[in-house]
Amino acid sequence: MKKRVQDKILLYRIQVKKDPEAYAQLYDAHVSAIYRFVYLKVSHKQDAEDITSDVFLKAWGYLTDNKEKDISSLRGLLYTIARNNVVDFYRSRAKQNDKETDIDEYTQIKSQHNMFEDVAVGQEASQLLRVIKTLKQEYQEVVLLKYIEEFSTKEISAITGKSKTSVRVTLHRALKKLKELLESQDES
Amino acid sequence: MSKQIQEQLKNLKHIEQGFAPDAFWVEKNKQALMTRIESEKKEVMSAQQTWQFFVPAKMLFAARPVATLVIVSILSVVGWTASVSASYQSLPGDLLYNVKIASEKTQIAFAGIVQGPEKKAALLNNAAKTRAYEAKALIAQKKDARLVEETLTDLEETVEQARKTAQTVSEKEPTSAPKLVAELAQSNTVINDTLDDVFNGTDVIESDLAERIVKTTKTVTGKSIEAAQEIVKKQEAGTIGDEQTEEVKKVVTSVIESASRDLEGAAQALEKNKTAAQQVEIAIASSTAGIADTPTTSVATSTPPPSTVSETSSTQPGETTTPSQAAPVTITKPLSATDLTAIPGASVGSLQDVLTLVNEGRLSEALDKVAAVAKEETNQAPIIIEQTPVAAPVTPTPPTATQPVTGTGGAAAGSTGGTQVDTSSTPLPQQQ
Repeated sequence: MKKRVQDKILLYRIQVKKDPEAYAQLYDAHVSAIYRFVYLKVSHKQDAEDITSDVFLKAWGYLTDNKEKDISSLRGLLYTIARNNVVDFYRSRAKQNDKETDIDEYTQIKSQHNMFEDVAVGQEASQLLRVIKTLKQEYQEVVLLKYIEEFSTKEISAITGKSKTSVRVTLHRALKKLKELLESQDES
Repeated sequence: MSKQIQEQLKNLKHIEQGFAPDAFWVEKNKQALMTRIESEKKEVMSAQQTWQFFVPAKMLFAARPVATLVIVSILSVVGWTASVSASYQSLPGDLLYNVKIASEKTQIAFAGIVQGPEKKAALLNNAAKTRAYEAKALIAQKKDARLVEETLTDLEETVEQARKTAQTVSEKEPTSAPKLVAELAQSNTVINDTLDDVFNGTDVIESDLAERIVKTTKTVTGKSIEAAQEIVKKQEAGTIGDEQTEEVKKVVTSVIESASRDLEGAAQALEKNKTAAQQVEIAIASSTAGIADTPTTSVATSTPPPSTVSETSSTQPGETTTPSQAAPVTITKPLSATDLTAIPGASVGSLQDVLTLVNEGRLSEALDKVAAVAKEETNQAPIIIEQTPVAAPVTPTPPTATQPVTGTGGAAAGSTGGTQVDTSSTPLPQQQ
């Protein structure tokens, strides 16, 4: 409750007062999480930084241009923008490469080349991340939002624009697929 | 396996080293962002927008209908209160009178449910008194007699309701019965006094209306007696304890005295009114008689004289008066103070006997006697007033084609509205 009130006051300062200090607070509070979310999706440091920077700039524009909009969650808004930016990023890259491949295919190809090239993580985590990257974008998204960013089904539903039931089903299928992939990797 | 995967996924979050952004980049990006956003023009939001900002959108959606509802409710309450206040002075037939009645009934119903039947009885007594004041005001303002009659009917019904409510309370709490009956009797006395006041005005009241008022007085008095009879029955049945005997006796005495006084007052008032009416007729007759040149009817009233009246001493039975014959005029003498007090003498006489019975503790008998007296009064035959010739001679009037007069005294008899005039005791002089 206290957090919600703080968020509301922060939102008021940003939306109404256009207070840069307030926005700086918001930036400090969420930049790492947004960066992580983007990085896990794009798997490239430079791209993740660019997208994250753009997320905060777009969020500022959205908040100050839509004063009368009721924003229930600032965090949810940032993730929604980040998700859309990632989708836009893949779409633009796909166009640049002039390949007639869908986003999922492109992501998988890219991940094979750049995956965690700058990341030094444990063996187990590295394997898990590698398997996640092989999942469909839809599955990756719900898994990351649910287990790493710790959003509720309702919040994921708001970020992705899907119904809660659809989110639950997707999550269930994603976990099932992940399990299968991990088991097949163990066997091999 | 699934749980294990979930745990592994959750642990990924804590791998700071791998997924944390470069601190230098974070700071640099922040500076760039701040520089960019600070360059934007600041706008000031209005107070309304600020209010809307902190009210959730869902509530904002409902805010307008809710605000409308609140305003409408406030206006309704304020409007109703203003109307009710304004209606307090209204009389039957006025636009706001129904508001007054509705407010009164609501108050009574509310008191009956929330505050108890004792409060309801008190409010009914007040309502009955209000009806009496209204009737008095209507008569003073010379409003339609029908409205007065309706108001008096309402009054009688309200008194009956008050009596029934008092009876209901008495059945539940017999100890409070004497107090409630005393209150009812007191209220009824006020009503009767108010109705009696109607006759004290300068105007003569129409005989029908006067009789209706007296009837209401008797009905109201009857309710007091009825209520008193009920508590006496309760006492005799042992429902009311011996410790309240004196209280009951006191109440009964009070009821009897009030009843006697009210009945007597009503009878006097009625007679006074009749006399006043007759005086008016005399005055009219005298003024008409003064016009010597023009032969006119002896008494001009709004009520046409009967074509045939009882014969007086001047006219022999079977004899037909010709138009040229001088017609004797019968005029009633105004009642003196002695005459007036003598009229309800029967009830005064009974009161002494009744009070004796009360002193002897025979309350039931006493009340029965008062009730009988009241009944006698109600069914009392019209009082016979001795008739004397009027001092002023009245010019005989030749009968007109439209109003042929046969015999004498028709005009006066007809104008008194039903009071029988005995013309046999004193022969009237015939005007030649």
